[in-house]
Amino acid sequence: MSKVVFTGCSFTAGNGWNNCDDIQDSFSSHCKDSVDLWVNLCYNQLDELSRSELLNYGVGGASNTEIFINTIRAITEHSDIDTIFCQWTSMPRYNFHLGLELWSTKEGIGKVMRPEHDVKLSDGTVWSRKYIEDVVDRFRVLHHLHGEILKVVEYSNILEKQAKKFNIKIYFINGMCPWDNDYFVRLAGVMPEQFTPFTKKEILNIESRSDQDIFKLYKQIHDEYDQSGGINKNLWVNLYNSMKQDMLDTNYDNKHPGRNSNQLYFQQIKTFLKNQHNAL
Amino acid sequence: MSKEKLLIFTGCSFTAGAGWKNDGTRFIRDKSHPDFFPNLVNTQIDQFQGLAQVNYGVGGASCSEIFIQTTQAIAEHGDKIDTIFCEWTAMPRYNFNLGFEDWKTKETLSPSGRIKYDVNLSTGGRVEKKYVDDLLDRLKALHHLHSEILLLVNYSNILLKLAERFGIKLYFINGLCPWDNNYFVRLSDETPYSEYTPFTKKQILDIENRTPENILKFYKRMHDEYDRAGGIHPELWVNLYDSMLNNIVDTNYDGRHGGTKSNQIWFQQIKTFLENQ
Repeated sequence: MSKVVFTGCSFTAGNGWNNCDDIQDSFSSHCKDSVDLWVNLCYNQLDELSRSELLNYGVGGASNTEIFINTIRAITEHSDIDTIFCQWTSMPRYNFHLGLELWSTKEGIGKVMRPEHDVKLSDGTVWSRKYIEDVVDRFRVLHHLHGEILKVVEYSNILEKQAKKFNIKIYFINGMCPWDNDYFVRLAGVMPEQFTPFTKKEILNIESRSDQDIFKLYKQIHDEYDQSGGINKNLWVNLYNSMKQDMLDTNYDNKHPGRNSNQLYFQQIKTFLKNQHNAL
Repeated sequence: MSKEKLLIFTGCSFTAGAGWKNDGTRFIRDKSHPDFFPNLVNTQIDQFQGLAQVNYGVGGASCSEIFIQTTQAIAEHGDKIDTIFCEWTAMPRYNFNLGFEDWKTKETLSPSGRIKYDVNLSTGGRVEKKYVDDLLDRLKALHHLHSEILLLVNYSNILLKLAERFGIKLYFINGLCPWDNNYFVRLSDETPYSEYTPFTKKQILDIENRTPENILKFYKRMHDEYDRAGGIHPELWVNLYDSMLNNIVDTNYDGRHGGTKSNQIWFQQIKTFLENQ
């Protein structure tokens, strides 16, 4: 039986769909079986997917690097994958472990999924929440987003090539990527003011640079995306309108997308697949 | 052997040829130096002499980045690849960019790879080296090595499965991995924990601060986790317990990376390993 694979972060893993009060670890409070989760709506309601077996590799709090690794893992673990939906997440994200203990010691620089308590280790060390937050927050703000976006472009291209070799259809979903509309469109012969707001402020910070530097760096960002293979927009369900932007409501944890939001995601994918089919 | 078949190297600075060239002002990488071990392997081992070499090594690469390099190599060349040597590096490593400038802004957790000066940003800001070093040292100290090693075991097994799908021979090299001799050998429950390897006792389990019951519990758990990830496959490692770092006997132009004699040792290790395969 062929398989359809979903990879991604908490939006794919179904975080917050588990209506329990006693969940200790925010990284694992998911419910992949929820009938309201967009993954399952797609699988249950789209004929071209429901003929296959569903595999959900989503992991709450996963970074884009981890999502890439999980997608490669899926490809290596199953020889008969028909379709992969790979949902990219916010950036920067980086996860690590403070210790080896009976309780969770996982930390991350992403803001949403962090534990809320101090972490005690067997050697008597207690890392206070305040200290951990201070270190990871300061670490987080040191990241420039261009390098993080470039990773998504690189990962997408490696996955596209791997998928092609195994005759797998792969599609990308913008879960929480930070770029704005038409960010990847390289403009020519225009003034910096006409770049997208995200390009101007977050990437180039044009108010603090000379025009000469702005043009040089604008060329460099797009050259680097091109050298990595570029963005193949035909493979993206929602390149410029992320799931996060489209959130209409929340589920049980009041953080992750609720029923109406998941319905919307499902409709977007349904329309996308219909257009893909028509284009063939 | 057809020239179309490829010999691939992936890894960190040891594989990227760091320090093999003096351009007059600084020491830079040179992947073509004849004393450099990938070139010795390519030119002096019969089974590789007909192969074209592609070296994906990048100085300062983390194990995650080396995993990505290797998947990229397989994505780009697939069944044209005959053999991959994947060299794993020190841990924890994580690289990121402080800014987007015309000058270097790449920073890393690893102290030896860090920028050695304050970094000016076009925003008018200045990121002081002292500040960055302090922050990254704090962050580095928060990492426990078991999960970093577990990542490497996971990566190795994913790559093995991927390589198998293309009929590629994949071998691993211990570049700068931190574990000690026989670290991955699971001892029986009856073995006193005093017989665990020094690295296991101190760096991983910190046995002086745990109860005997907990020591045994965590020893079992760490090996269970390695097993669940697919295990280490010692037969596919050139030097599982004898890292390249341990075998540095001289340095090249930069005074830090392995020189002619060290590269000869690494080459001989690979040659002997292949003869025993």
